This record gives sequence, structure tokens and C-alpha cells, in this order.
Amino acid sequence: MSHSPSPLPSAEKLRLESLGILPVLFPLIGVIGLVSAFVWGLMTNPMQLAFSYLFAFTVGFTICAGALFWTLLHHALDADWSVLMRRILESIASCFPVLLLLFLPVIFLFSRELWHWMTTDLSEDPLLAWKRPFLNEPFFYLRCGFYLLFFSVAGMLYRNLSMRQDLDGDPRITLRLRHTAYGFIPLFVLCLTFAGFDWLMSLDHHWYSTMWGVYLFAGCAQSSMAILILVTNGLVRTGHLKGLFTVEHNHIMGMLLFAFTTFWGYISFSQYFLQWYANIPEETWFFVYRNTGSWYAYSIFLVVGHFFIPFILLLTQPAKRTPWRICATAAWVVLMHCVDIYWIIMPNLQLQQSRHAGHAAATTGFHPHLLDLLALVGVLGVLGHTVLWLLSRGSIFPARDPRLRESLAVTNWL
Amino acid sequence: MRADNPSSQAAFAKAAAYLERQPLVSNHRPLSWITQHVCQIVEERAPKWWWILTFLFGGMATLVPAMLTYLVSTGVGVWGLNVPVCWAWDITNFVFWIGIGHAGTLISAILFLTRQKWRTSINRSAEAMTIFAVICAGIFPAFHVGRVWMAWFLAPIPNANAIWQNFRSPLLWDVFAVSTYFTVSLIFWYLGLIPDLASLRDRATTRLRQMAYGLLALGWRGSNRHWTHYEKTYLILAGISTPLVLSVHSVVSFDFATSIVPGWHTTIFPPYFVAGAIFGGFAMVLTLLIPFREIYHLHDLVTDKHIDNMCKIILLTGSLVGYAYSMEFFIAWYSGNPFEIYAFTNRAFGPYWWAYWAMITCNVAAPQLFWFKYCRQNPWVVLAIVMFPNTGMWFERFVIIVTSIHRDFLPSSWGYFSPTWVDISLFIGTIGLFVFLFLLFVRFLPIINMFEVKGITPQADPHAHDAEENHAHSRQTPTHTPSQVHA
Repeated sequence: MSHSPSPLPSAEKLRLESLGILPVLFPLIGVIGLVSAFVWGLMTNPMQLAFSYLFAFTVGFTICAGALFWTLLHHALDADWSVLMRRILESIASCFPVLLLLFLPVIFLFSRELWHWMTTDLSEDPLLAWKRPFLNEPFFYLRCGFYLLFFSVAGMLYRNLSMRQDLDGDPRITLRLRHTAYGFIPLFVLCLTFAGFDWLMSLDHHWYSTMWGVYLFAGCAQSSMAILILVTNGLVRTGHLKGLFTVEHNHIMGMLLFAFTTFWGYISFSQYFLQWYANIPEETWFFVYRNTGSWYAYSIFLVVGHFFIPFILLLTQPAKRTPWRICATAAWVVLMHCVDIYWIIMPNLQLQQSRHAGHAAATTGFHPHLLDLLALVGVLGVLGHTVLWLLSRGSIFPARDPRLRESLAVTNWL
Repeated sequence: MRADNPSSQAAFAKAAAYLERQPLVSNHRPLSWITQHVCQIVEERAPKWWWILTFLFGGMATLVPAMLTYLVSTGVGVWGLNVPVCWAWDITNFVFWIGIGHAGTLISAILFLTRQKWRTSINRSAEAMTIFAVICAGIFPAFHVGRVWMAWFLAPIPNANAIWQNFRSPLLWDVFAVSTYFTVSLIFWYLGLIPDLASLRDRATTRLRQMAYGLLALGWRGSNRHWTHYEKTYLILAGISTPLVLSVHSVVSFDFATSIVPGWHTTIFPPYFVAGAIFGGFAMVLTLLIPFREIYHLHDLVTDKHIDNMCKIILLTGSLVGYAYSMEFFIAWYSGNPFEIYAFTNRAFGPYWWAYWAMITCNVAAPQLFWFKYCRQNPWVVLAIVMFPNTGMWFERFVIIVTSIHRDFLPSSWGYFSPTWVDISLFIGTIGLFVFLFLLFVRFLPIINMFEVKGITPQADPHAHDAEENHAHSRQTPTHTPSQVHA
């Protein structure tokens, strides 16, 4: 494809003053949310706080992991359309050092509240005794450290080198990042899968599903694409990327959001359907817990809200090309991602509570707690502030990327 | 990072040159060259090798009716199936062929929706291959039912015996999934052929040829209205086909995964089967395309870049399949379920160990060679490597099906499956049928989608005249829409 040789746009700084109260709001709600959650939760209900916090952490983690996935994919596939938005992805993916810090309370305060297997007597649970070589505390912490370190190094490497390219436009950096991506993608896949096994699947250590890593990945890719749509359109709305960002970029991001909405539906349906159909007790408990009491309505809402509604909302072309429509859908998808993570984690709180009360493990129904909201607002506030800070450190798009010209001229027609 | 010394500047320039996009049609071929080069394959006299190969594979294909006649007249017992292994080569071959049929529609539908322009020179032959593979696949379950003349009971037609299908069985969903896939793939393929059939009609030198291609071209005149309708229909069909690509092999995987058989029941089966199918399908596309590219000198249309891309897809999907294998193994251990654990250790170290390790070698290890550029760039090396996925994907289905059921829960119900000569001959027959149909396709239909390839040439770009300032050798008049590119 050939293009008219127009000059490349010069680097553009994030104008914090155009963002209104956001630069103040993010750190404010981050601090207030986390401090109030910890003070109130530790004083009144540490177990509730542990689960609320894990929920909030997982939402943040999955969105950042998704952003890292899109960054790696962009390089591995030598994509062009996404160059303009790549700095945003890189900035979100560079939040992992913060997530590493945010994970410390999980290790030092909450782990024994969260993971039943850490406190179970092996003589009572022969299945756990079998799993001991994998599910033991030293190895568990070692793995957690490895995942978060890998994600941190990968995220920062991609942002730093991309920022360095802004200075001189060295094409060798593009090649280096591409070749690194080939090696990082398999590592990313393994880290994400086992992080999913460790943090979420082992909350109920008897349950297992080979699909679990793929299921988590589907949510990561979908929610981070929704966040990218929101951030990009937010920047455009506040006067950034003028003349660079076009309706075609929204269209492509909308198509990917649609594709991953469908992918999530496909994966979650397959997982549910196969366990429902085979009806083997050790597998069906996962869904029985989530179909008890008001959890049943919640599960139905998850299916409708996470798949059917965005599927219909994104089906037509105008839905992807009209900024307010795609932003509304993206916001809904992010909300539904939180609903999904909540659905994965929170029934386990009730299982733990019933065990501690000396009853058989059982769920009662959907009982939201203010701590859920405080923890979520806190974590997202901290991450939002980090992203804005990272974005304000340099150009908001890779100004000297060799594929920038192609990204600006992208169209959706063959 | 930019250094001032000359060696660094050279590296800088080399990297910049490396990043230049390769053209999808090499040597600045004009539009007329594309028409002439593709059409003459069909128009010139059939070469001698074509007759030899057609007779050879046509002869092989006669094994299909011969074996089926023997089977129907004698009974399904002529296959090596027996308790506990009641599914073996038949279902293995069915899944193998269905899997091969995935690349075509993936290329034509999913790569179309994701605007992958390189698909244009390979989609036609891949789609043809899809259809022939599904034909081969359908033979096995249809005759496995035993009384094939009763196969119509699978269709929900009210009948005198008040027999109604069990809609809760994935085997029945298979009937619908595969027949829908076949129908839509056929329509999709034929629709994409119409403008090219019209080109053949317009170039025809004999009355018979003109009549035949004229009938098939459905009165195509290349008018603006025709193109508008065509492009809308094509987009809609691509949208319909995309979920079909995923659904067919997902439903095939349900045949196994909905059961409670250890080794069959695992939740990752649907995407794992789809990845495997794309893996095997692309391997077969390359197997067929590389020889024909050499014979018909199609290097300017099916460039090294196309082969490189397909090798990368094979590497990716092969690694995804490897991921699924390791998840199955890990979760079997993690489950703590002794039957699951036994199923997988038996797979790797039991009597069928050779099949398991053949599968791992062919599907996970061999594609890793595509990490090396040398292996992706030499077509003969590529051809040698893709033979591994071709074999490995057959072994995968054999491993899943046979090793999971050959040792039932009670050791008194253990067995070992060996194929009979009928099993083997029928499979060889379907290979013959598949290649025979493909040879007919090469002879009578344009194997490259001419009008779509023209649409992605630099000449078809509305900004081609901008390029002329930079590239003095661009001699073509700029054209604006695919309709006007149609020569």
C-alpha cells in the first residue's frame, strides 16, 4: 500500500489540565478506598476484606494482563493499525510493579483467609495430600512472585523501549520488540494460566477445569480492549490525537471487542455445558454453589450481561463507528468483567464462612458488601493514577514508530 | 540509540529496509498477466502428468465404493471394531478429514473479516480443499451407523415408525453441524467463483466451454449492481461462516467431551479441537499448494510471504495444541482422580505409547522448526515439515479415541485395537478421492481467485498515482473498486 508522503505528526504530550478532576480524583479515591477498606475491614470483618480485596486485585490484574497481551500481540503480528493506541496499552501494561505491591497484603495478611487448602489438615483431605507437591505455601509464593515479576519486566520493557524509539525512530527497536514478543507470548500464556489456577481455581481446591486458563484469558483480552476504547476516546474527547485518531480505529477496536465478547461466550458456554452435561459431582459443585439462592439470578445476569447484551450492541457497523455508542458498550463490558470476577471469587467467601462456622461448605446467595466497592475503587484509583502518570511522562502515541504512517491511514475496506 | 558511526547507520538502514512491507503480488505483474496466467491453467491442454496423477488417484478412489460395498453387504464387523473399542479408525478418519476442512473457511471467512489481504491468493484452493475433505469425512459416520439406508432417520422427518431423534445427543448435533458447514462452505466457494467463471466464459474459444462456464457464471456481467450485491452477500456469508468454523469442530469435540470417559471428558476440548483443526488444515493447504505453485509457476501470486504466514499459523496452532496437551496432563494429575491419571499415563506409557509419542513429535515438536526463518522460506523444507502435522493430526484423533476406551474400568474389558485391511483400504481410498477431486478442480476451475488478487495489487489502490511519483515503473492506470479491476 502506498501513501502520500505527508509529514509525520510530532509527539504529543498529555495535557493533564484538559482532563478535569481526573488527575486529582484517581489518587484521591485510590487512597480513600484502600485506607478505609483496610481500616474498616481489618477491624470488623477481615475475611470479607480478604475476598473483597482479592476481587479488586484480580479485576486490576486481568485488565493489565490483557493490555500486555495486546502489546505483545501487536509486535508479534507486526500489526499497523494499533500503533496509534499502543502507548496507552503499554502504560496500562506497565502497572504491574504497582500490582506487585498491591499483592503484598494478599500474601502477608489474607492468604490463609482466602485459600482453604493452606489451613486444611491433610489427614482429612486425601485429595489435597495428593496435590501437596503443587499446592504448598513456599511453592505457591514462589510462583506468585515469578508471575508478577515476569509481567512487570515485560510491561516495563515494552514501554521503555517504545519510549526510547520516540527519540530517534530507530527501527531496530521495533525488530527487537518483535523478536522478544515471540519468546514472551508463551511465557505470558503459562503465567496467566497458572496465576488463574493458583489465585482463583485453587480457592476451591477440589474443583478443576482444563479450560480455566482460556476462560480467564478471554476476560482479560475483552476487558482490556474495552478499557482501551474508553481511554482512547476519552483522550480524543479532551482534544488529544486531533487529526490522527479516526473512526476506523474505533471500528477495529469495536470488532475486536465483539470478537472477544463472542470468544468469552464460547469459552464460558463450553466450560459450563461440558460440566453440566457430564454431571460428575467433583466438577458440578462449582456451578451448584453459583446456582444457589440469589446466585442463580446473578449467574443468569452474567450470561445475559456479559455475552448477549454486548453481542447485540456491537453487531452493526454504526455501533462500532459512533463514539458514544462504542464507549457506552465498552463501559458496560468493563462492568460485566467485574461482575464475572466477582462471580468467580465471592461464592468462595461464603464457603469459607460456613466452614469456619462449623457447617458443611455451602453458599447462601448474592450478598454484596460495601468493602467490595471500597476495595475495587481503591485498586482502580491507584491503577488509574499510575496510568495517567505514565502517560504524562512522554508522548501519548509512539511518534517515531516506523508503522505510524500505516496506522494513521488504516481503513476497514479490502 | 542512533549512533554516528557508519556501521551503526548501516544496521539502522538494514532494519528500516527489513520493515518494508512485501508486495502481495511480486514483480509488479499487471492485471492482464494475472488473468492470463491463471486462466491458461484451465485453458491449455491437460498435461501428461495430470492424466497420470488423475488415473492414479482416481484408481485409488475406487477403493471407497469397493470397500463400502463389501462393508454394506457383509456388515460393520469387517472393520476392526470390537468391544471395548467400538470407535476407532472410522471416527478417527472422520475427525481427521473434518479437521482438514477447517482451513478453507477460516481463510475465506475469518481472514476476510480481519482484512488480511494475503488471503486472496490462497482462499480459492483452500475452500475447494475444505469441500473435498468434508465429503471424505461424511462417508465414515454415515456407514458407521450400520444400516446406511436408514441414515435418513437422522433427519428430523416425521415418519411412520414414530422414530424421533434424540436431540440431547451430540452425535445428532454433528449431523446438523457438518451438513450446515458443508452447505455454507459450498455456497461461499461457489459465490466467490462466479466473477472468475465469467472471465473464463468471456475468454472461451469453444462453444462447449462458453456454454458450460456461461451456465455456471449465472449471467454475471460485472455491472455495478452485480458487484454491490456480490460484496454484500460475501460479507454476510463470511459473518455466517465464522461461527460455523468454530462450531463444527466444537460439536465434534462434544462427541467425546460430553461423556464421562476419562481422557475424553475435559473442558478444554472445544477450542483445542478448533486449534488442532486449523493446524491440520493449514498443513494440508501447504501440502497441496506448494507443488502446484511450482508446476504452474505461481510464485508471483503465492509468494514466499504467503508461505511464511501459513508456516507461522502452523507454528502458533501447533503450540496451542501443545498447550492443550499439557493442560490435560496437568489437570489430570491435579484432579487427583485415579481414573483420569491412569488414562493419561496409559496414553503415554501404555500399549499405544508409540501413537502418543508420534503425536507429540509431529504436532508439538516438528512445527517448532518454523521458528527458523530458513525453514519457512524454503518451500521444499516447508513441504517436508508439514508432512508431520498431516500425520500427527491423524495420530491425535487415534490417540484420543482409541487409547481412552481400549481399557475399560474393569480389566476383563480390556482390549487392543488393530485395523483390518478394510479399515486401511477405505482410508487410502478417501485419500485417493480427496486428491482426485482436487486434481479435477485444478483442471476445470481457476485455482487462484483472480479478481480478489487484482483488488489488492498496487494498481487497484485509489492512491496508486501517488505511488507513481515514487515508483516510476508502476505502469497501470489507477482503478478504484474491485468491480473496475475485473478484467
